[in-house]
Amino acid sequence: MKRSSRPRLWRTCCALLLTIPGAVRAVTFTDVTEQAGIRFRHVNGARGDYHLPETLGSGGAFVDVDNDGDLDLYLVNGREWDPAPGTEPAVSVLYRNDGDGSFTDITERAGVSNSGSYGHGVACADYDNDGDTDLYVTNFGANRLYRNDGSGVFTDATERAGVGDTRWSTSAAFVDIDRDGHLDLYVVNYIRYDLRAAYPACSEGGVRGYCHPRNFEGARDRLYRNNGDGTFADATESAGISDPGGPFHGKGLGVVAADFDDDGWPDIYVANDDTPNYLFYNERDGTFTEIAVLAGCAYSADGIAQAGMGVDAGDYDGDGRTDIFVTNFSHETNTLYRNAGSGAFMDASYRARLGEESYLRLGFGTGFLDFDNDGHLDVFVANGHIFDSVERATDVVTYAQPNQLFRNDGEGAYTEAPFHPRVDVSRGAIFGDIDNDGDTDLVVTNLAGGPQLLRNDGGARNNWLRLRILDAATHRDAIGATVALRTAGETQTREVRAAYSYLCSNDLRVLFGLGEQAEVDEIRVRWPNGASRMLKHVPANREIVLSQDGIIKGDLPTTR
Amino acid sequence: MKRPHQRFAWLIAAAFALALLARVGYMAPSSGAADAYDDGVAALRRRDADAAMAAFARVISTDPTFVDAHYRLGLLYGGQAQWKPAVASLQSAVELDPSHADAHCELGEAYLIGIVQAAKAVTPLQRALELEPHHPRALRLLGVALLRLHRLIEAVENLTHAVEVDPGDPDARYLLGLAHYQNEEYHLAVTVLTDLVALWPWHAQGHATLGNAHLRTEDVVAGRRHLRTFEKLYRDSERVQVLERATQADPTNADAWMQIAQQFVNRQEWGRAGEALRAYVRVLPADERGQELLGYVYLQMDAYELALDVYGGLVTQHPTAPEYHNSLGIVYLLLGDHGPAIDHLLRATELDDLERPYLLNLERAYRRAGDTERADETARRYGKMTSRGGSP
Repeated sequence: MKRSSRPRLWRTCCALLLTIPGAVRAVTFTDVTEQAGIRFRHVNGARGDYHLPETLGSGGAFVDVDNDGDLDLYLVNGREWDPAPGTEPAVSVLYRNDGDGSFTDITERAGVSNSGSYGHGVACADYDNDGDTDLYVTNFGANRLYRNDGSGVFTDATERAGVGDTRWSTSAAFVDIDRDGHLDLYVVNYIRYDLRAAYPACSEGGVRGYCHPRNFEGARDRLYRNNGDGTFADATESAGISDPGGPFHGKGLGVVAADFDDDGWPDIYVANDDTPNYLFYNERDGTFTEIAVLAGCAYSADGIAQAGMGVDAGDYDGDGRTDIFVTNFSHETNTLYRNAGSGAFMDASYRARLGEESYLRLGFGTGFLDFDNDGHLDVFVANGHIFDSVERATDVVTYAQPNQLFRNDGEGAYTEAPFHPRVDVSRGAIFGDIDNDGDTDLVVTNLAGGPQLLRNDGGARNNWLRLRILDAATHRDAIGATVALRTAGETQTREVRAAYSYLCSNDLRVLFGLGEQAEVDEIRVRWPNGASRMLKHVPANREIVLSQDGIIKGDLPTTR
Repeated sequence: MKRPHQRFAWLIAAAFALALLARVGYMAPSSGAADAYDDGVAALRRRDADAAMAAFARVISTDPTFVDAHYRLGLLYGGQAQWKPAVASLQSAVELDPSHADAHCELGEAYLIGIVQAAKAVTPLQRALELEPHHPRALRLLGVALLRLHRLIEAVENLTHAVEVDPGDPDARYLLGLAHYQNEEYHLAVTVLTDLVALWPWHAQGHATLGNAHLRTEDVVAGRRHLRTFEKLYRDSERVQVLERATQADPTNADAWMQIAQQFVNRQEWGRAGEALRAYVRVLPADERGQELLGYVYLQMDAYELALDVYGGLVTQHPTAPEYHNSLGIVYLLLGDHGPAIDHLLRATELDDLERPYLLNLERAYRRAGDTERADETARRYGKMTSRGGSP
């Protein structure tokens, strides 16, 4: 009897392991930076003068600059304030994805070094509807627009386009605010800071450090309307982008454009540092109204203007409404604003178990991603403190910090998942499927150091489906299109967007995790111009390229 | 480098400041330990935290079972945001004296506010409440911990009890309203928070959450009203921040100090108003307006001895000013020193016999001194003046 019971028990356990639906399968993120040939080093110019731009770091982009179907990598750099004569200047770098796991530096040929500028962020989109993706680089100083000529070579089109905002810009987003088919540009500006000004030195406990942003006035954001001829007009005032700047407003760092009320028009949410966040509601006539206070997403639940850094929007609880996640300072929670419908958001940070877990961290880059392809949006946060002397003030907050991955349990709550152990002063987080294997890989940028290219190993063990949504008229990615995918009675809703996280631009393709479902019951796509299309019974584990006219890549039946 | 708007950060300063000066008694230690302990307490009184920590560490090295030394050392570590040793010291205190409710409470707070592990805070806070079921701070802190753990029904229970125990604690009321709000009990949140802002109209967070709760109950008008009030209060606090920066840059900026003081007077935050006014008076010692307002603030704080100094000085500087004699008389009256009270109130009525409140105060002083005859006579004068129509 004893001998026979053990195999039976063993068989029972095995059967359970094999059949538990949605059972956690180990996913690891492998650091492949070196083997990929990424040699980039971020330069922030810190030499003891404690200039505030040195704290922000830089971001980057996953962007297919040569239309070869895989994601290339652009990394923005700062620079030395006073480079020593004869030294190699720090430049931003464009790496071409060679498709075999390696990347090649093509910056010089591409002409996107942003040389001489102190760079922070980048926004990517085909602003001129010519079928290739262009780059807009934000700087401490005048921003730059690089126009792609179609072969991965760029020309500086800033002056002609009229988008060289000279304020201290951070994040930016291309978004078609008026649905005229031309992508407009929202530029987030931080604070008014003059390198030559004699600001009083700031210190803590006698140790010199960076000044708090409260010591400076906020810089106003800017909205550029695309004229459709390669030029833009400053529409900040006429569109009602009511960012007054000043001591207590609009120290912006992060931006995400999303259709929060599902009316088919993109709204704009801005994460502001130490000042209330903005939600610009699209009035559908080319103007916006700022409603964040009334909507309940300007402050935390207890009325605190937190230090907004990075931001993303996504439907984390599967109710069809777009929620907001904002990273904040240490001794603040990162804040999850649950969209409760009717224009109301609720601070659900503690409810979702994302409150205490973030309290001692200082979060920057962030995004909703489904790292294990189980059909639920997980959250990643890149962490690192601003003050290099913070450990003198407390024993529970550190300067370098671990990054955090939170797994969505499918019931509206998160659990911190194991992640790569490197501890650094991280800033940006870029999301995309660099090896086209069906799961989301990451780049984390680090302040005054090298980035990490983290390959997702194991995410694609669950089924997946990737969609690239194009606009039929221009064949550019249909930024703002929404995709609702239904399988096994559950619906996942996503939006085509690149601009989220912090100073970063991300994979424009929409990747859905399907768990163990081998087929999707139904996909509904709604384009920004109102057109829609439905696909039924779509097999998993493939990429489909779709426009209003039908499937461009992928042999599937379509139903209009 | 810490930011000012830390969620629940207001708990830290108040808790540690109060706790450090409480619980002075201690159990029979060895004489060396006792001497070191006395040194520690003396250092605390002169606000020398480093010396106090060194002294309490000496106590523990001499007598490791000295509970209060562990306890105070824990508080001091916490005050310096050194939370790991704070927890260790407080843990030692509760192990040595499991009946030490305050130590359990502080340990819970160190976990909750310092280490930021609400789940670990619950047990010591519950233990504190087993020992002292009406421990107001333990009730409030446990409410915060349960809020963070999203155990909202229990949070509501604890915070309701906290409000019952200390109805004058705006933070407990606010947290109760917030717990209802988080639990989507919007009408209950409205009830609690309406009471809160009626009692403390300057409670910005109260208006914020009340506004949101109204919006959730679809009372848009009330929601917008409270959110506007919240924003106004927020702007006011921002103005204070600007003024405080101005005083940091130039501590002799008297105008900024006075504006700060007036903001806090308007909000009835007497302690902070007093701080600003003391700074103002240091810059402009001869300025009547500052001293007068400082005296008023001291009266509001029930700091009568301090008010006595201020008004005494004003009377010396302005011996013919009836209002200062009146104020000084009131202070003496509040201190139960009826003789000088009567002298100054009488002088005030002599200097200005049309000011009815002076007479009323004088009548009260006579009556409290037991001089019914003069009290009645003063009351008759007051009555005649009222019928003639003096100043209100």
